[in-house]
Amino acid sequence: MIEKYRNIAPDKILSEISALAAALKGHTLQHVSSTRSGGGVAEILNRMIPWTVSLGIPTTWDVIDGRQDFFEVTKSIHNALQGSDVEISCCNKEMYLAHLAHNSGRIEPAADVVVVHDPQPVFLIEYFPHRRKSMVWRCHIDLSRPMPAIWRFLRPAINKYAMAVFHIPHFAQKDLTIPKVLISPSIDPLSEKNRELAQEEITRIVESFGIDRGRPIIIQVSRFDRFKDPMGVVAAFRQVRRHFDCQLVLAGGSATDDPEGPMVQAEVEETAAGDPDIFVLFQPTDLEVNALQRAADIIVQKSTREGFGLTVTEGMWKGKPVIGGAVGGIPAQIIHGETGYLVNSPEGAAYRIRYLLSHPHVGSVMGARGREHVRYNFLITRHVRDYLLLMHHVMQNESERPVFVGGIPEKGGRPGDGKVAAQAGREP
Amino acid sequence: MDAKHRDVPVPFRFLKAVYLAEVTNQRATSLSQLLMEVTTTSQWSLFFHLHQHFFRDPHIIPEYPNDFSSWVHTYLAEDAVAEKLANLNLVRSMDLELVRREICTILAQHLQAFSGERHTSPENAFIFCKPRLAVLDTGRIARTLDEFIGILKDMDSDTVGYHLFIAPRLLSETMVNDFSLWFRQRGHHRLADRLDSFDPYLKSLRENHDFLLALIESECASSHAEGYDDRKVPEYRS
Repeated sequence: MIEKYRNIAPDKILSEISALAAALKGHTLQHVSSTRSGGGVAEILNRMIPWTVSLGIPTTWDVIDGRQDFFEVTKSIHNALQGSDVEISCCNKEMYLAHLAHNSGRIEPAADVVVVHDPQPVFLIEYFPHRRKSMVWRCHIDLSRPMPAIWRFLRPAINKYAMAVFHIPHFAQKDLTIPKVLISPSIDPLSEKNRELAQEEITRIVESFGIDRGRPIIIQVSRFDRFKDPMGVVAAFRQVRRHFDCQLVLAGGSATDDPEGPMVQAEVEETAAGDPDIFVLFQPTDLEVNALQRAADIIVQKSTREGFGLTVTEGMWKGKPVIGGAVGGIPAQIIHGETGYLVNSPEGAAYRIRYLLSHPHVGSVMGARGREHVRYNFLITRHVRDYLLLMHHVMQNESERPVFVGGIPEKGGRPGDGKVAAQAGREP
Repeated sequence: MDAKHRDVPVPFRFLKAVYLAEVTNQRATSLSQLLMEVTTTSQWSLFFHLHQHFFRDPHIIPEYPNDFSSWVHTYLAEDAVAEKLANLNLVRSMDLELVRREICTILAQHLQAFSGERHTSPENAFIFCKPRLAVLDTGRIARTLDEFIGILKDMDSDTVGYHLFIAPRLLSETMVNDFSLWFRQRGHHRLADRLDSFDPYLKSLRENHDFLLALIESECASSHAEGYDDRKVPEYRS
């Protein structure tokens, strides 16, 4: 697997993967989630598991099962944790717990490290008190503003894990008493959405939508969701259009659990109606998204609330300057003024778009820096490395001491300084 | 060159570190809260916020070169304070306690001089993190200057970051960077002095890597010109 990513991912990360994995050979990893297909967790596990297996770490993946009413409750819990005003009745909580009790009979957390993904299976830990030191809760959602009642319900179970993992610091709730570490999501440079494309293929796809490759293209790829602020993007574009002959592409779909999506899309289509330079594309394929992003001059993600914002990562990976809302995980990705710009209003977005259109060389430099930034920080290879690192930390089970990997002598890690490895630090 | 040092050569073992950021419960939404939290936060957390940009991207040196200055600029728009925090004297203050004192002085002086401080929203709070380190052996060991240069050329810049920042500031009490320590042990005092005095905080990690290579190569060239040959020193046994 490492060889497939040679010359794409940084050598340093590939060598870190090798070093970390060599010391884990024979140890086992287990994932537990709520579904094997559909959704971000399944997507990442489908890519991650072949990696860890190829590195000599036997990896299994268990999926909890349940009736439809169970998943309706877990969906409500999911939404409430992300801030939606949802109440879960006692009856539904009991039904949810009963389903997990049933699952505890068929899923045994037996590996050296067990990663339980998202809130659906979180209560499984209650049934395996002797395995708690090896179990990690991996949170993939925006937990910055959970509904208090639901959070009070889940928190005691989460606090029984050895560790919790979040995307960004703001998602790590202060009242969790266990160690909280960060692992950013990632993109796969070999996936259909991110692989390299020939210019002819890009042109063919882009022109199939009636988009003119001869004029600047500004694009936002995201669900039709108010928090993605598509109307704000249109407003910014209209301000830019007074000065530049350019085109706007809004490409995305809507989530099945978001009843507002079609409404927002209809509003956007209505606003864009009659403007031949605004293209509203519904549910383009991954390959089409890839081509559209590669054809664009500027990529926008003007969210007003955001989980992590992998479309920012995708845009930077394609060597484009990215203008993003200064919210959620976007500031963790865009280095303002270096790889793109962070903005807080349609006017801010309009100004930055105008600047980049009038200074295309600046956009090229930013795009190149952004691609390197993604190469080091947001490719799946870094993600795999972080999971291996997580395994080391969980297995060491000592938060206050660095892990020494690969035969570093207990004394003598530094030239002439015997204290280093043995004492390892003054005050973590 | 001091002859007695040539008799006790210790090979240089190239290490590197990778880390996961651990989120602490310390948060600040204003300068006074930042002051309070900086006063009590761990040295590891201070280190993290002063150095993480080196390891996030070895090619970039951000406009505001540490998390404190960047946050004060971005979320509090207190640019005079941000500039002072960007200008911390990290080279002189290898001891993180001195750095802590310097940050606290900057914040306290500002708070004393100006009333009506700015707050940012909880979503934009400064959240203190600390690194959970894993130290990796690269498997490369140098016994001579020539070997050292050859290996340093091959290594990724994180190795430089480990020996320049992590080991001296977090994992040892000597607080001298590993390169200067090793070259001084070998009697290369002129080179060690230069390695002690250059300012790595004005460069990206990659630039530091290139700078060190150039510096050591030029020293190597002068050593050869002076007739010093360290290629035959026996292996150190602990």
